[in-house]
Amino acid sequence: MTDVTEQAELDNMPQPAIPPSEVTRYQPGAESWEDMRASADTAFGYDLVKDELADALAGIPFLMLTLAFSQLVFSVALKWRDVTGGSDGMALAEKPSFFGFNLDHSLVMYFMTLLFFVAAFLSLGRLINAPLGRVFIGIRENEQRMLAIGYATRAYKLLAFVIAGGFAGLAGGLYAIFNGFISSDALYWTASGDILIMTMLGGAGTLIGPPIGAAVFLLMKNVASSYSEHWLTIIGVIFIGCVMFFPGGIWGTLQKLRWSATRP
Amino acid sequence: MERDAAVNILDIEHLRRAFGSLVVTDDVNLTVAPGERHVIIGPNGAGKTSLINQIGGQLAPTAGRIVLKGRDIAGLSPNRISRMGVARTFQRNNLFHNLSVIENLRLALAVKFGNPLDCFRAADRDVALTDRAYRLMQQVHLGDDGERIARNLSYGEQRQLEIGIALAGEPELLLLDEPTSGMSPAETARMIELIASLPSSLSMLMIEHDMQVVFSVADRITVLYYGKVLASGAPAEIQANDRVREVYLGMAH
Repeated sequence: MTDVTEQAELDNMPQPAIPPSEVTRYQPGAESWEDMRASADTAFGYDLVKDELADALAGIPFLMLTLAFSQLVFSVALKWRDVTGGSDGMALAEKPSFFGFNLDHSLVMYFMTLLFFVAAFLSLGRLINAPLGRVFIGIRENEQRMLAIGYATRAYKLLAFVIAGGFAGLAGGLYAIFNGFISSDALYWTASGDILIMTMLGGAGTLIGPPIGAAVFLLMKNVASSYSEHWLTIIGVIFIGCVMFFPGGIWGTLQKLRWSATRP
Repeated sequence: MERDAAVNILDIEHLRRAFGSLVVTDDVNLTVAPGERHVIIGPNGAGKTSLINQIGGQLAPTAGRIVLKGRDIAGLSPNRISRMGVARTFQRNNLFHNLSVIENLRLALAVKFGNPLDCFRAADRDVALTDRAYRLMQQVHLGDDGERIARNLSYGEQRQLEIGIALAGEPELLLLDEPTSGMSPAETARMIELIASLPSSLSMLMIEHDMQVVFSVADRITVLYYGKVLASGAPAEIQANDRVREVYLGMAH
């Protein structure tokens, strides 16, 4: 479920802005709601700095720089044991309660996460239909034209990135509470890779696609890993096939089928 | 010179752009008076689009000045130049192909007349902006079905939408890069009509190949040849100019 939440923010971003490790942003050792809010706040700030750095670049170089920056943060987190616990990570001494409900109950945890997911999903849906979201879509469609019309596209891309980072931070906070434990492994670049795979699998550029992709990815992971320890290979092959033959992902392909079915 | 700068909407002075040893704009001087329809002609590779790109900010000049209403805009970013009143179309259609006609126009209008930072209200609820978009759609002769997706329009209609997007910000100077290229004779006739219907206060700098279009819209013609201005003047002067006939008009016929 938390993966689903993390997913929801991806597709609002202009095209080249593939997010760095979404899971990367939480504050290790989120011990209370305060910490979770701090997690989202930090994510906003972190993205702001990073994007200023990465802004001159676009496309693949931007992606590589983003990954490199994430690795930098990972290394710092790994070595700075006083704060992060290094590779041992930090455990949540006690789960916070949610409006009086005990989050130790998995059902409570589930519904709380669901609540955040729905709230994030609805607000992002609202955002993409609002003028600001339309600007983001315009930049994804044709940045050169947006510039010629008079939009300062750099500033808008930065804004999109910061918004995405904020939602990722929220997801990270939930993830830490859900697991009751967090280590610097969550900052490793493969965390970004998972999210990228989920997005491509479900359908980039849509709101519902990434949650679908996340569900399918986790299902595949669970099923495949019970058959073989080389489950990553299986997922990798499926992913390559998906990118090659269904570039719109699951949701994009479904929409295309529906579209051609309704036309004579 | 100072006087001219105040009178003309655009003054290009000694503009130069080189890519290594290739000089695509070579000491170009050119002016556009308010309301003037100025057409640039020249054989392929004469540097016409490079010149337009430098005025629009898509390409930075190597040297020289581009003075817009008395202010040097050479090397500024496209979005700043756009907000100073210069709009442009592109040689190849450059639309938001997956968005509807009305969304294309609304995006173009929103930067000046909307609230592009609004992240809460639905974009199509802005009635004033939507009305404006529909009026603009009619102004460029696209009828009143705004829900058609841009990529499904005919080629000629896409060119019209290009002009609609460019007009959205109420520019003072409109740069048109071959508005009739690739068009059928019927579409070309419609485009000439559309250009003629634009307000006479709007200054235009236009690249065009079709001589029929050139002589039906131009107040003034500048001939570019290998990056240099070969001649500039009224249509009749250009037609009578021997060098122009030799290098350009002669080649075309």
